[in-house]
Amino acid sequence: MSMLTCLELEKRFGRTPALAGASLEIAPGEIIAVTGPSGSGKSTLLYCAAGILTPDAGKVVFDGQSLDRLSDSRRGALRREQFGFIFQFGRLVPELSCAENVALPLRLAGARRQDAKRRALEWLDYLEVGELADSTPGEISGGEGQRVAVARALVGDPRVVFADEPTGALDSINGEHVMRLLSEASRNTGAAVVLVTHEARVAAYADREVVLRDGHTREL
Amino acid sequence: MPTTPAAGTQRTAPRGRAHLTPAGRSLSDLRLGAQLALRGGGEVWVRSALTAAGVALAMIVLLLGAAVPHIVAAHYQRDQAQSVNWSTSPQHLLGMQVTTYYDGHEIGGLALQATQAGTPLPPGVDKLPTTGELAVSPALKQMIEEPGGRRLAQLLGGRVSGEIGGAGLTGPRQLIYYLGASDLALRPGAGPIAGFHGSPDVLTSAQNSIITVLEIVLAVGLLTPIGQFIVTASRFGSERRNERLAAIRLLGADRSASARIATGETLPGVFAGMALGALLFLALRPLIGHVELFGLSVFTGDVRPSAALVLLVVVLVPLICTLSTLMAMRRVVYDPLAATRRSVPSRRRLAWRLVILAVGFLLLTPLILHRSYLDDGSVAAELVVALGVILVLLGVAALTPWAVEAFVARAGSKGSPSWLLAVRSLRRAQATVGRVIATIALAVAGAVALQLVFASAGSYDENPATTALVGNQSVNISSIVVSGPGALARVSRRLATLPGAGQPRILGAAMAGSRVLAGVAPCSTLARIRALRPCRPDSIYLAADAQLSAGGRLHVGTDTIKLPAGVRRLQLGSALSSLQNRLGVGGVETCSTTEGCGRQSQFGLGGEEAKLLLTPAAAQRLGLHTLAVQLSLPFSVPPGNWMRLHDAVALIDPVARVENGISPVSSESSELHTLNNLLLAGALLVLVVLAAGVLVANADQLRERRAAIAGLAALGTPRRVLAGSLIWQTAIQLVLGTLIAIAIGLGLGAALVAVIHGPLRIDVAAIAALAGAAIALVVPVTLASLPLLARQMRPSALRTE
Amino acid sequence: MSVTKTFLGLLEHGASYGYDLKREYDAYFGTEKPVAYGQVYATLARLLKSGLVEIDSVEPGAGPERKRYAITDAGVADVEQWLAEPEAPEPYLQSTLYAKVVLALLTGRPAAALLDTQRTAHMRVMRELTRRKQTGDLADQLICDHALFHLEADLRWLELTTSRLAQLAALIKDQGTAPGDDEQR
Repeated sequence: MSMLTCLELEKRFGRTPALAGASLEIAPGEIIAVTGPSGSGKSTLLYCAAGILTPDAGKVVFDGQSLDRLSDSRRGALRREQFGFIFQFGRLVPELSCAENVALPLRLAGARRQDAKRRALEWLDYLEVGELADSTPGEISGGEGQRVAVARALVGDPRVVFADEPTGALDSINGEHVMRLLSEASRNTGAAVVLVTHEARVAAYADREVVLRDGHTREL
Repeated sequence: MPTTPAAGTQRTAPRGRAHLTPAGRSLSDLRLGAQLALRGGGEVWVRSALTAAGVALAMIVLLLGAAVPHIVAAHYQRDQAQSVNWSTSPQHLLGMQVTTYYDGHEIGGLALQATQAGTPLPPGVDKLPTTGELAVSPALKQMIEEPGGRRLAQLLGGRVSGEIGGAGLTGPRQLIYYLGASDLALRPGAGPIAGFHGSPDVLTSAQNSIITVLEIVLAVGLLTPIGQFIVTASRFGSERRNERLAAIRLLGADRSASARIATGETLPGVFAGMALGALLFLALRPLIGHVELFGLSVFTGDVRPSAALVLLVVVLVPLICTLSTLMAMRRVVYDPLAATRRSVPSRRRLAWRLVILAVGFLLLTPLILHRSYLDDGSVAAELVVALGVILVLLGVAALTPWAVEAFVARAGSKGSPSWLLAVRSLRRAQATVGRVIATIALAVAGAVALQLVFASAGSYDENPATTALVGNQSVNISSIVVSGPGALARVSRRLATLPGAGQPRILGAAMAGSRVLAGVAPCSTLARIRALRPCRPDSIYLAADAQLSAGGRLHVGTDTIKLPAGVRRLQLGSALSSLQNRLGVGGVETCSTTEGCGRQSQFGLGGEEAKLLLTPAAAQRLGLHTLAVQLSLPFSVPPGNWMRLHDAVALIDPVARVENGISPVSSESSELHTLNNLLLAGALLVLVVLAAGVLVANADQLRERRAAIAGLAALGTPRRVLAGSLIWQTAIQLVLGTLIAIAIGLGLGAALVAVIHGPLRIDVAAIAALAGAAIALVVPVTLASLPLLARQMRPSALRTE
Repeated sequence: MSVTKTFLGLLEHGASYGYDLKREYDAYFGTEKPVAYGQVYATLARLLKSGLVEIDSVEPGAGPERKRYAITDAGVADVEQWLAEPEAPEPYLQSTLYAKVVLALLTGRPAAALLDTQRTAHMRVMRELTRRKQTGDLADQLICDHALFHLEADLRWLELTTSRLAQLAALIKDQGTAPGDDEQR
């Protein structure tokens, strides 16, 4: 029972084809690793699946609805309400505190400030960075920042979390920590995770692996 | 495998820097920087080009400013050359100041009468115009030659016979004329001229102090934004440059080397800008001759930047740019890997900012309390005012960033996400925000203060007599000379038919040459004095103590008047003085150096000369045809009729004078009012320049936050939230800055007005316009930033490789 | 790493004498530890007995060096099966995997599939280890981590080799000799 399906996606940037017939299927609650050599277009596949990029050919279907039928603002709303994102380099808003960063998706969805703050603090505690609630991203370490990013991704109770090399900038210990918490959270909340990574140990946290090579996907 | 070089060929390694002297090393660093700038390709070129453009603009303004002392001095000299040296002893040249109103212009001139050849000539004129001829300035000649200009020639009173040369003009568009006349002796207000090149109106001490204050506030208030603009221009695109410098630093350049390289990188753009600015200035200079700022125009030749100031500019501009570059990259040099954690910068201190402000006001206090210091023109007093103003303005510039920070810190996290993002972003970007806000506040405060000073000074211009002239009043017209039978009656009729005018009360004299033979007035005037009743159309009154020779002849100097028999005798002197008092005629006292003292009104109206008083008909009968007349015309005042009055009077006699009328040229055209408008225009221009600075600061910031913005876009943040935060950000800066600036500007203006001891007038409209403009700038600045925001939100911004 | 299978694979590549077989083996796999003659003939004898190889021709002269060995159909099937099956994932598999890759290339089989199959097996075990790690105690975690790191090292080598396959295949095909042959001479 697939929740999010990508069918034969094609995408070129200039003359280089990043995707040439890539497919992906995600069922609710599962963790999928997308692996492959660097520069192979894994991130491109991720962004297409999330509706951030529009593929040149192929379809992305979420909950039975094709994403290319949706307007830009509808897709934005979709991302706001159903998806969560974790990037390799945090991309937290540097001038907001960690708690405010985590609360932001909720506030954007219309939640009241107090409610959003409360949930944000809950998630920060769960990810073991509760005491950093009032610090700014510039004041904390990389590993801590990624955990805040995970909290931000999960705070809105998303159906799918898209993680683009979440441990890429971290050392093994921090990476392990983040992945452990992420997979636990996924199990507990039932959120599916699409994980782009080039590290096998990180991919090992997933239930399935999809390899992207030369623009094509293979499931191993 | 790489092939090893053939044995025998030695490859020399590139020479290191060890062989360079310290000076050599510095130069090589600078050269490296310059090479980076010149060969950097696309983006670096854009940056240098923008820097050059900004610096060029600044240079034009600065060079103009450097030319101001010379312009003022030249103007003063020309003014001096034109001004009349009135004599107290008889001369062969008689002159009288005349004014004509036409088409919204007030045209000043001089009526001249030479009684001998070889009299001194006004500058720019090689031949005195004869009677009924005009020597006019080129601009005036142009106006006469236009269609409909014949009327102007009529009003001026003659035919154009010559042009006034450049040496006799204060500016190429000056309107001035010299009228040839032959009856000046008959006119009050005419006087003997010893020569030209007298000293022009000595400014009253009050005016002096106003001007000093204006100059100081202008200099500080409007030139600082130029400096700010230069700084902004040299900071454009600093992020990329910082990255480059970080790389260089990591390669091993030490701090001073990095600083030199960065300087070398900025300087080509700066020097190019300076050269461009100088060229543009030279190119635009000839155009200045065509500009007329209200009665004031400037000869191109007079626009000469003072060498000392130019030197200052040439040294200061690169210096400011270099310092600003060094300040901007200080952080990069210190921490190229951005490894140190960035915490919120420490809170600004309020204390020293208030101190500066307070000291500034304190310096002005003694001048407020003691009237005389500034009036005396003492240099020390001027310095104190200058220092006080500078300190207050700097205090404003220092206070505003603190205020923004305080507001932002307290603003807290309540409110929409847009608000939150804006407030926090401001809190973080303290340095840039602070700088821009400070300059906006400084400019606006300076403008507001100047506004108050202008409004106050403008009140000096108003003639107390005319402010009292409301409702039904009388206007005095003097210096009308008529001859021939019925001429006086015609004049009277002409004036009486003006709308709103009543019956004129006329008092004149029958003249022979420059001597008064008899007083002349119509019965409508004479009948007001009981002693003179009854008055018949041909009444003749003789002074009781007049001596008649045989045959009833009255001798006045060398002239003789034969009187008929039975002429009534009376106390003429007292009758005449009561006439004068009653009519208010002859009460025109002008005895300043421009009027010429030493020749009082000799119409005998109150003087001792006239022993005879006649009606116009009687004067005719006695053969006295030339009459010099003053009259008082009752007039109710709708404004438009002033022009008609002046026109009618000019057509009656071009050298006649309306003594206490209101200038038909609207008071907005007086110099100070125009300077006022100029000030507003200048302030608006400065605001626009500063808005550009805000724009650049916004753009820089957007680029810095690129990663975060892309992340937010991926999360699905609607565009309007981010755009909203931009609007809030700009609005907070502009609104807060403007409010503080207006508040303190009003305070400073009030203090300055107290210093010059003027009345406090607040032009709410102008201040509201300034505030409104500052606030309205939010819109265009935000709109211009939006495309960049959109670019940062696109998926391509997510790619980090 | 299994010498028997390797010889078999080499023989599939081409029938050869014992001496040449040893040389070929050493060129590919024996740079550090050349195989002993005794082991060569013993292995050949074993293969002969199980019917995976046969004697192709005999040179005149005495001694075992004179027989030429060739692979039988059964031998080919054996190699096929060996290559198609993944090795049980455990640390220090590189030498075996390397042998498999080279032999696959030599015998004209798709090496990419081999690598993918191995990767799948590795990942399965790694997933299992990761799951165990999350629920186990500290000792479990230490052991799992140890295994995971080594397995990852293998996988990284696998990935590198995968990306270099084209190069490697060209080298083997064009030159017809093993890399490092020049150095032997």
